[in-house]
Amino acid sequence: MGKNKKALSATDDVEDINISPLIDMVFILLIFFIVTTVFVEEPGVDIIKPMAFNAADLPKNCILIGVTESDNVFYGGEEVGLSGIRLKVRRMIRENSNYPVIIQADVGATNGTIARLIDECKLAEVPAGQIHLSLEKLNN
Amino acid sequence: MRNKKQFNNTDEVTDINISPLIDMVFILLIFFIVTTVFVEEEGMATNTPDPSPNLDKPDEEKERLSLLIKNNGEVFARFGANETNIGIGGVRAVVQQEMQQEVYPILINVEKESLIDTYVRVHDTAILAGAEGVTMKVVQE
Repeated sequence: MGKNKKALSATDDVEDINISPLIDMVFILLIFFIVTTVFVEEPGVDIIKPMAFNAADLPKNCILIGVTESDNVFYGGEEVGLSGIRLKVRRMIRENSNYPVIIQADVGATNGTIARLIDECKLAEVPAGQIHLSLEKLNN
Repeated sequence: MRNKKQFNNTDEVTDINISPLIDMVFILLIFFIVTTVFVEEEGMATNTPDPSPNLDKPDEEKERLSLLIKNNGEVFARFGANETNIGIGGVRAVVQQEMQQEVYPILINVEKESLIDTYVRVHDTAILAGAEGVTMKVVQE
């Protein structure tokens, strides 16, 4: 205890370090992260994306749905299945009507599942042309 | 006791104590660093035909080109009743030839168990060959 006290009083005598540049930097970092943050729920599954030349950049604010190799449908880190996805997507679309749906499908997923998933999204009132397949872009 | 006295003495300087502010800013910063995800997605729009059976009838009457992806990954070109096995490599030539006369969206029929990888390749090739758009339709075997 005695030692601690001594140390404290010793530091009190020393002039303060100027911390305003530190604070400035922290503010800049804070603003950067506030601006870049998007609250997107990731499917949370490992996926090997199909590759294509015609891949356009997609918006950052979106609804991400994952489809694994064994055709399991994931949303927000949990398996919801084909039957549960409509409710989730509809809820998101009600809140943010301009959000597109991005399907992250594994190369091994079957077309039957993807087509049904697209149909479910359409039933969840996602506008036409707002459903995308996530791809790995190839450069020619 | 002595310590307290000393503390009071140093407090006499009329500076606003900004350390709580800095603490708060740090907490906010950490929150945003932790929650930030950098979503960078690239992809293409996919569509299925709208569920009204009248829409796809006229296409068949005009004998337009459509493609068929079988469960085993074989790709067929279909003109009306004619079906030929062209494989993925043949898609570009067939679509390009067809698009020289008239540009229209292409229907890709897929069987349920075919893989999305095959569909993406055919879709990509069809767009590269000049098709106006692509629609994916599930067919029974």
